[in-house]
Amino acid sequence: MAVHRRLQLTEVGDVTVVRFVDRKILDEANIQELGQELFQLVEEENRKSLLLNFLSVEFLSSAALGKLITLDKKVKAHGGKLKLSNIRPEIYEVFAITKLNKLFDIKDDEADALASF
Amino acid sequence: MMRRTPWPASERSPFGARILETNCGKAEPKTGKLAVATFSSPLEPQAFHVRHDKWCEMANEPTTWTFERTISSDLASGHQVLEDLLGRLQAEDWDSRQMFGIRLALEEAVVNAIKHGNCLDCNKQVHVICHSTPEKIWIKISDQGKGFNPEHVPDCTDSDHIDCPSGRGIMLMRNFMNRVEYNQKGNVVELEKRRGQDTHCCNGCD
Repeated sequence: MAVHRRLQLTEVGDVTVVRFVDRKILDEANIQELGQELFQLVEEENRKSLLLNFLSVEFLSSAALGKLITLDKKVKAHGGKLKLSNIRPEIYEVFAITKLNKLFDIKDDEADALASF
Repeated sequence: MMRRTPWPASERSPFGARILETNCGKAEPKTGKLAVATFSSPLEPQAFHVRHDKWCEMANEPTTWTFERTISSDLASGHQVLEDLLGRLQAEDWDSRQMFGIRLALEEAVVNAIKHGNCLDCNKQVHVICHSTPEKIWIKISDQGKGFNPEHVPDCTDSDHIDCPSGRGIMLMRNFMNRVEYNQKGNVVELEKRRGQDTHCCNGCD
């Protein structure tokens, strides 16, 4: 299994729960690395069900949103499912402003999200 | 004007190190203003003067200041200037939601200037100036790139572009700040945020 520096992974049944190491996802180099690690989960490790838990994330920029959008495309292309959970209100507002709350399947917490796969 | 100090009890002594910066009743040279502080302890009833700017800083009240920096076009320099400027703002009365919006808008504007404006060309510079007053903050970020027309950036909330991975920075800036304006060339952006007047999520909230 690949080494993940920006992600912490746990398996719950068939679902891979992904948590983020960085509280602020804004540094360009970190975002590039984060994107590569997320894409690996789908393209190299062939994981079909991904849950991104944002509990620890306090801040993210539009560059990070771009990686999530690309991830969503890759997951769909591989016939998988992507869900997001535990997004704090300020960050949810970023998703709402950009209407990405309609693109992504966002659940309040991890239990809700796991139950919906 | 007589006011009680905002300091914690342990720092109320008028002879503490911070308080020694009094101007002994003379007007502060730059502002010409005086502030008078009193202490709540009956054992320390002395009134004394502190410099107006120091008083504002201690009282956590907004004061007038200017922050100006010119940086090279690398993202590490961009983040350093943001941390320095945001540290200055965090000492004031912005609440956490406002600080989130300011941080996001500045992050997007500075990264745009370095990455898309100057194309990470280290021979080009980015100039950041922030002027803070008791009413608002005003920030101008200038790059040395060829500029762009913000009207030509596709609307990423449109269903045809919703899965486009870039182009959301300006939209976020406009939503979190009270005013965002580019110059005609498109290489200078001015942002403004008024104190005590929140922006509204007007674009896509259900």
